[in-house]
Amino acid sequence: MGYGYIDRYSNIKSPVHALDPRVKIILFMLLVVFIVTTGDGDFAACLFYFIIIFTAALLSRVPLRYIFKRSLAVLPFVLLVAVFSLLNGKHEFLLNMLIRAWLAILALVLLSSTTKFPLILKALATLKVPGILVLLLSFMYRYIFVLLEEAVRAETAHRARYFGGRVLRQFRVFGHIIGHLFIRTYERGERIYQSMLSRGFDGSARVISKLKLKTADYLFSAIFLAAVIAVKIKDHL
Amino acid sequence: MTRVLEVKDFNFSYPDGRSALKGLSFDISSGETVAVIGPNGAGKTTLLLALNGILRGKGSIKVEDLEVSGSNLKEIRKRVGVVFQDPDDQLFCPTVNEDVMFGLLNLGLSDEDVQRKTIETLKILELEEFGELLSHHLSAGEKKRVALATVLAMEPDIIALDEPTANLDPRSRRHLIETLKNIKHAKIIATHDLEMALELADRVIVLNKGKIAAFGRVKDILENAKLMEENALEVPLSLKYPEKN
Repeated sequence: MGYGYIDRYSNIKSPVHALDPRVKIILFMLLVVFIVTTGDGDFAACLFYFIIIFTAALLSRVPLRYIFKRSLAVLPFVLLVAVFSLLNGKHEFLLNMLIRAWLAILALVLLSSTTKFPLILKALATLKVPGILVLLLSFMYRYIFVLLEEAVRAETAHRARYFGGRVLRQFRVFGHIIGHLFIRTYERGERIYQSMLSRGFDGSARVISKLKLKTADYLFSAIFLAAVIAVKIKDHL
Repeated sequence: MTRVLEVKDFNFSYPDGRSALKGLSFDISSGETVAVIGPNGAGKTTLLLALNGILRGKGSIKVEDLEVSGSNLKEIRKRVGVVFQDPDDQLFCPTVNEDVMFGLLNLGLSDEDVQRKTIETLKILELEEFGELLSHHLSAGEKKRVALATVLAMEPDIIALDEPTANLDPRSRRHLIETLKNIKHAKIIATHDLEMALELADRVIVLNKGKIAAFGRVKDILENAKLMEENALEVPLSLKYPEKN
C-alpha cells in the first residue's frame, strides 16, 4: 500500500505554499509562456528567469535537489525533439530549446510541489477550466496509485511463478498482464460510474470553493509580475 | 410499521440475455435490517443496483410508494443509498470531504448546507479528523466508514450495503458493525458474513441463482442446516456450538 505521492512536499509550510492556488497557476503559466517565447540566443533572459524560479524555490523550502531531480524527467522528450531539430540542420536552436524546456518544467515542478493537488483542481474549476477536464485530472490523481498497485500485484504474481526461462516468452506474459490490467481498469471505471450515478451524478461536476485572495497574494503577484515583465522588456529599457 | 421498500415480481436479465434475478418479491419496513445471503453469483450485488435504478428490470420496485422509473431516478437515488463493496470505487474524489460533498452537491443544496451536513456526518461516524485527508491514504476500515458517510450524508430512507465487512480486520469489522447498529435507517445488506447477519439483521433473504430460496426471521433461517447447505451456506458457528459461548 502507498506508493508515494504526486504532490510530495506540498504539505510543508512556506510563503509560497500559502499563496492562493489560482494566483500560482496563473503566474506560473504566464512564466512558462514568457520562457517559451524567449528570443533565440537570449541567454541573459533565461538566466533571469532561472533566478526568479530559484528565488521562489528557496522561499518554498522544498529541497532543491528534489525539484532538480523531478525536472530531469522531461529531458528524454526534449532530447527527442532536439534530435529532430538537428536533422533539420537547426543546431543553433538546440541549446536554446533545451534550456527553455528545462526552465519551463522547473517552474511547473515548483508549482506542483508547493500546491496540494486537490487545491490545484479546485483552482482550475474556479478558473472556469471545463469541468470534464478537472474531473479527468481528479480521477487520474485518485486512481494512478490504485492502478499502480494492481500492476505491481500482477507483476509479483508473475515473478512468483517465473523460474527463469526463455526471455522471449515473457514478453507474451507481459502482454497478458497489460491486457488483464486494461480489462480490470475498464471494469473499475464502470463501477465508479455506477457509484457516481448512485449519488445523483448527472454529468455536471460541482465544487465548493472557499478560496479567497489575501494581501500576500497581491504582493507576491505584483513582485513576480514586475520581475518577469522586466525580463521580457529588458532590451527596451 | 411503514413500508420503506416493496419489491414485486422483479426480474432482471443482463444485456447478453442471461437471467440474473427471477421473480423477486419482498418488502422492508422502516428501521428494519434485512440481510441478503447466498452463494457467489447468486445476484446479490445485482439486486442492490436494481434498487436504485442503476440496473433496470421488469416488475415493480417501490421506495416509499415511489415507483422506480426513468423519470424519477434522481429522487430514487436520494432515497436509496448504495455503499459499494470496494471503497476505491465509491471514493473517487481526491479528499474525504469532497467525496462526502459529491452527493450533497448533486442534490442541489446550498454551499452552507453542504458543508454543515458534511461535518455533521463525519462527526457521527467518528471521522471528523479525516475531512482533509486523501482517500488513497486511508486504511481499509476507514475507507469503508467514509464510503458509508458519503451515503449517510444524503439522508436516504434505506441504505443498501454490499459486503460491508469484506477485507476488514476483526477490529475494523467490529467498529463497522457497531456503527451500523447505531444507524437507525432501514438497511439491506448483501453479505457472506453470516455472523454479522445474525447480529444485525431482523430478517434474511436467501438468494440462489437469482431466486429467493427463503425469506424469514434471521434465526429461523440461519438455524436451518438443511436450507443453509442447499444454498452453499452454513449455520453460523455461534448457533452451531452455542455451548461455547
